[in-house]
Amino acid sequence: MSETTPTMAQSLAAGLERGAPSLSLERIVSIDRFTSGLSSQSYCIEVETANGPTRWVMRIEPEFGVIPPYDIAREYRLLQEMSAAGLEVPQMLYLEEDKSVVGGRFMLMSFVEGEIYQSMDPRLVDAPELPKMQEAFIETLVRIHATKQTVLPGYASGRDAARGEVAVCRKRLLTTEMVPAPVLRHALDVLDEHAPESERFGLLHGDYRLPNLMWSGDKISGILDWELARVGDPLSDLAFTQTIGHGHCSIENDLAVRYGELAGIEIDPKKIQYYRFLEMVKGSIIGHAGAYDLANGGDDLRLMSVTTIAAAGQAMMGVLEAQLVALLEA
Amino acid sequence: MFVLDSVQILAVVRRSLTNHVLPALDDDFARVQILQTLKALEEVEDRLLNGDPSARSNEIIESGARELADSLRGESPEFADKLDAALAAVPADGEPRERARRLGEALWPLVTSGDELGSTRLLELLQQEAIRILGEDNRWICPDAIASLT
Repeated sequence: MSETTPTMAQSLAAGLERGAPSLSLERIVSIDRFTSGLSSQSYCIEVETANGPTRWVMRIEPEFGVIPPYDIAREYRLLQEMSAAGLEVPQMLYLEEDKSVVGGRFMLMSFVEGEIYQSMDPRLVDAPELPKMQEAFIETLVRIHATKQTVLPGYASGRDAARGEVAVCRKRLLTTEMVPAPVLRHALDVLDEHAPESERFGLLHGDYRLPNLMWSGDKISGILDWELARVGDPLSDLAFTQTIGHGHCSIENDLAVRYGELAGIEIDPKKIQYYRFLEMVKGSIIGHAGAYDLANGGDDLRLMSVTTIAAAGQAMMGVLEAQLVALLEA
Repeated sequence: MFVLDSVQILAVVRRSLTNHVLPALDDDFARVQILQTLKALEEVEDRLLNGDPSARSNEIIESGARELADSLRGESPEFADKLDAALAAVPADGEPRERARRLGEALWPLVTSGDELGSTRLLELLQQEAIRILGEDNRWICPDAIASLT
């Protein structure tokens, strides 16, 4: 068990005995923090229950974090719906709304067995299974986009959804901006003004990339990290795979054509460009939020590097913004 | 520790973490926190030796904005006057990041004021400074920290 977690184990065990007796917890064997992820802190919990040993995953809602505002209860309800819809998501076991148990609201879910790859994982270079994995990556995204949900707020149109996302970003920036970021503010104005209509809009994963998927061979066994899920143009998720999620499964060129075939929609390059720029801006705002988190009690030093990389994104923003405006107004 | 100067103290802390703490850690998360700590200490050492990068950035933006105001007096005198006024409204002293905040808030209304020439060139100035900061700041990225997240 990690040195930092004996107290957490005691408190968690007491909380689960009180709030989730149906889990039949007898003893927590170990708690280990997953190193990946910057927002909700995730832990692998090995336990003994009346039904035998098992493993759970606990995700704790952060107090500040890099993508505020958080709502782990909403994520929990969304994942319950996704599970019911047949998507490969962990089984939701328990939602604790009392922040005092482990220092923040948390949800408990089943542990999904499988392999996780980095976006540019060296193991996949020239891997014979890569084409099938890419197909599964696209096919699963098409299924996500076609899934109905009742948890996330909806919009009247794709343009409204895009403007809504820009507004979320603006609020996030204004909340966390410690030093004014005029380049980002201007980029948000441009994105708001040029928000495109969409051929279709619906559920988006919002963080769809290889590190957020579990694999069993060339099949996806788990779709993780839904905290950025929202309603919008499916092309937004494609643009995400080309920017923040860039790597072996970037949905561009032939893979984008394949997505279009499966989803039955046109891949409009202008809209893709718009959403790519939006993702760059969002990434830079996450950097600001990282600095804010550290200045307000955060203790994950990796945020220092994240903030610095985000500044790098900001440096490119002027050129990208000019290119986008030229393309959209052509 | 009266005898050592601040740079020497930072150097010995870095050596201790590198030689004694890092090799003893099995926990991946703890290791990456120490690796990032070493980068942070290096950055603080650089500030002690070369000054606060925020103060440098403020100077570059202020001098650039003054030059811009001078260059626009013929073509866009109203914008040039507003730019002068905005710069004059920012107190000359104070903590660098507080000055950066005030400077940014003073210049932002001019970026969005719609003056075709002035607003564009002021935004370009701020974008150029963002690019320059990128070049300086890249040194403080800890590759292991980023690798652990992607």
